Amino acid sequence: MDQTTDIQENLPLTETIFFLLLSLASGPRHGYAIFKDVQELSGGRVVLSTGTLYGAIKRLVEQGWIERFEEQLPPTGDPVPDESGRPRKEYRLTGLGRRIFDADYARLQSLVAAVQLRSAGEQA
Amino acid sequence: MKATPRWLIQAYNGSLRLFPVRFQEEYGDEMKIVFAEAYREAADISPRSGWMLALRELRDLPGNLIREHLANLKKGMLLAPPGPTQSLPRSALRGALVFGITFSLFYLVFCLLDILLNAGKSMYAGNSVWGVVIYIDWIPLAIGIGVAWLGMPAGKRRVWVPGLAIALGLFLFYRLLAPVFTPIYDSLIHDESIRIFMISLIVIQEALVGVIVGGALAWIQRAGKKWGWYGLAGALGFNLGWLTKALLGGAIMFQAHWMDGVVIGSPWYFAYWLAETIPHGLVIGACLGLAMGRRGEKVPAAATT
Repeated sequence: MDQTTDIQENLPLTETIFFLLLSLASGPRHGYAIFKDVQELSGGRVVLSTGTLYGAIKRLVEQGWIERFEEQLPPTGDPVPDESGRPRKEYRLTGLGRRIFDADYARLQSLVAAVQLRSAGEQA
Repeated sequence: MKATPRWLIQAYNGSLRLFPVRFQEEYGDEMKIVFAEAYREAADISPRSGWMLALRELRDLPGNLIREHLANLKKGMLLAPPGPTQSLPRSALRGALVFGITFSLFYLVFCLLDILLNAGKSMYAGNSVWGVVIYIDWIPLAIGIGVAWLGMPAGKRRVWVPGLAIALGLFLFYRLLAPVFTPIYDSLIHDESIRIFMISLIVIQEALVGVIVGGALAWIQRAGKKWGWYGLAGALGFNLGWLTKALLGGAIMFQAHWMDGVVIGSPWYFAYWLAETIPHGLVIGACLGLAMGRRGEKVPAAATT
């Protein structure tokens, strides 16, 4: 089974996963930033509970779509502590996650293009 | 900025303890921080927003708990691909667990229904719901779900389709065979001289069911030419399962002075059905799991998103 087939088998993404990957597409974020970003990106429509958010994060990490790392201060490389004093964790897209997100984005674009084509035809 | 009430933090931390330990250790601290920050921000907008956030956590909690515990269970059963010497016992254990759990869950549902309708009556009274459903409805359903569950490692997203097909197929199978077998059983049950013949009919019936179920698993697992092992394991499993439950159920009945002594809802009642259902599922599952182990287990595909 080639990689394209593997990616296609994971489509379409659910709305939650799509917004989560979209949030990380512009760069690494920590949990709360993802939580806020998903809400903003969806115009307040997708509001996750922490259990749903971290359940999705866990699955994406296990599937290798995103990865988890310790946030570091730029000049020294020292870990940034969170409120509990432990190194704060951030998440970023992996190459596979980026390809899957791009594939779903392309799929959505083709759907929109089809609708636009039909609308244009009806108006003509 | 308003602080998050201590009792709410404690309630949230308490709810996190309901998640699998591995999940708590990995994400628990982050979740606490995200919840506290989200609550503070929501409460700053309005007290109602803070409450809505807390209620959303509560609303999603049962679904999240079920999902994580199932994922944990599945991971535990599939973790570390077995080596050649471990493959068979591990797959047999997984099969036994799957069928044992599925059978016992169905048993529980029908027991509760039976107790609701017939509590306090003797099983011999003849109006037990088991008289209607046993061998006909719940076993095919349990097998269908068990097959779907056991087939999941194959990575087929729509593995429930053959599971459902098995449930329906067996439902019809038992229904269609019931008019054929029941009068024969009834006519033979009081005739000591031909009881062996009656048992041989059960052997044939259980073997047929086993071949159907094993064949479905082989199809789900894409077992190719190895489907014969699955069929054989199914035939063996269903017969051994039937034998085990008949012996255990008989022993319990003997202890309880037969059906007159078994009152619906009493400890003997539970003991009888526990002895009949759970070992039945365990033995069938173990045999089917052995067939899967012969072929080697597949690594589970990516979890559904």
